[in-house]
Amino acid sequence: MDRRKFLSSPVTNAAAAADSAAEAQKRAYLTNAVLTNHEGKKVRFYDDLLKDKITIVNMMYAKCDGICPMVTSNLKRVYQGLKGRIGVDTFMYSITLKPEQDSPLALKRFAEMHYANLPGWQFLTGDPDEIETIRFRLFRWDHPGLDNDVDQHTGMVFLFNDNLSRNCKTPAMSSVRSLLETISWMDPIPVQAARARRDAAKLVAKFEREAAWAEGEKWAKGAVAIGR
Amino acid sequence: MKRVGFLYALMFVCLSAGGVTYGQSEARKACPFNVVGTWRSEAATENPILFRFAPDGTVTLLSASTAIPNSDFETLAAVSYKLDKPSAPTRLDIIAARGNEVFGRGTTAMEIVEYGDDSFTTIHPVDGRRTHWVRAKTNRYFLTFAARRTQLTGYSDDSSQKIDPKVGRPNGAAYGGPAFAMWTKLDGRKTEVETLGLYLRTEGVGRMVPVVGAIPSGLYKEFLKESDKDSDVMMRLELSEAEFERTHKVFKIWEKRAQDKTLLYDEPYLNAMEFLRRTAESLNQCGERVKLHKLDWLQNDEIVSRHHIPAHPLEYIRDMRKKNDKLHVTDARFPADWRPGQF
Repeated sequence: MDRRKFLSSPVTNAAAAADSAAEAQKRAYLTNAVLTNHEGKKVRFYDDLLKDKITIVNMMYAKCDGICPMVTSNLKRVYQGLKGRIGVDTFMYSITLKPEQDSPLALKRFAEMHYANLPGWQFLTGDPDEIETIRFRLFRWDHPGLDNDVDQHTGMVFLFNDNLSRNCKTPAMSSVRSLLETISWMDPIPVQAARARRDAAKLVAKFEREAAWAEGEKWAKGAVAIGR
Repeated sequence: MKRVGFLYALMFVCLSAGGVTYGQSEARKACPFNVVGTWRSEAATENPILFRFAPDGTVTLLSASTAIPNSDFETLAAVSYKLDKPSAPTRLDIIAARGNEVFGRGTTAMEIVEYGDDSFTTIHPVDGRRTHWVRAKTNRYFLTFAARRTQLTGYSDDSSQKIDPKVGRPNGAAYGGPAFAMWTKLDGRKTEVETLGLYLRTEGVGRMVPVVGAIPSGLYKEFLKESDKDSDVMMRLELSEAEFERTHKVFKIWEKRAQDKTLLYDEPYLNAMEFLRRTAESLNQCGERVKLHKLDWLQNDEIVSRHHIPAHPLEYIRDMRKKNDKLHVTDARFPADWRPGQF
């Protein structure tokens, strides 16, 4: 046996075991409930929807005449803001709070009505008790008075990066810019750092352009003065 | 004058018809129908035939009998049944593939004209005979809420000490303890008991850990009879079969939650309170059966604002008992030796 392989195998095995234990813990906590999306496809909550992905989750219901339509419209702008990332490493899920009422077809109609029937964005329904577990695990305030009012959970967005086990909640009606900023916190540090470097380089270039422009203007004014 | 009289008559007819329709729809809306259980028809003879509707779509015809050991009933026949809309039916089909003494071969379709928790009325399609069905008391059902006041360690009353904000405010008594619901079913031969709630498990050196799950038999058996301890509070209600089924649904959901570790909160006392509240409120699904404290968890809430979280279930049950003392089934009224037979 290769000596290097022999020496490293216990280490890699231990790391793999720790990884799978962490994964099992996440699967147990976030649940692996079987949900049905607006296309009628069955999906497992953790294994198919969250695992190895950056996810944006909100709760809604088709007949909600409160905040849900506005949230969906705001999230659509977020979708557009994330351009090529949705469906690649980032996914959006809208889970119904009223699964007894919302069939996959009702959710599909809701998505179509809001022009949100888009790739990488799924509307989900399922067993009411399992959806309640998901709702509490993702959105609860640890205050039964608030948690028992389902409408209290329609105004928030849950952000999650499975690979980093990083999550946060943010108001769904924040500005698109603010939401995109918060979603960017889900990215790994090197990606954030690269983005920061790129943004800084863009800023420096912008300042240099502005300085050159100001210099040019000054020169032009001087030239005009000499011409007089 | 005639025209005025006619208009009044028309108005009277419209209002009465509207009233009837409104009443019917309200009655129907109140609670979903549940045919599962044992029924007898009003046209019963001295030895009545009972119809036991099972959830799997079979109906067994039974006759009261003392001839069979360990059973109060003799099975006469089994056929199938079908309701057009199980929770709001208008038609009951009895399907006898081969036919028997009671039902001829084929399907007998009966129109359901009214229903409630404990009765329904059908009209026979051929002779228009009206039959009133009532639930037969082959079992008796009880739901008990119980809690015990225990001094807790780790929950301080001292306002100078730091308290975990999840646990509660610094003022008030640091007590809590077991709190649970117990479903009791008597069939005259055996007593079935199912429990769920919070109990304290001793871990390590006398450390009491609150756990949500099935209650250890030693503890729930102490509440099969009324306790004379000041620390104990108990509320025992007799339920109809339909009420039992409705509350038992809550039990099934939360039993699964406890087993699958999908309880709604990390704090066991919050889970216990939520489970007990939902169980109690399921009694009022079809109108106010018991008077309950409306927990809103805000500053004005009498229970929440005066007590730590561990004491909430106990105080909730105490309040329920206080408001519904007349409904409490005392030991003297508890039918321990009850036998079915009086249908």
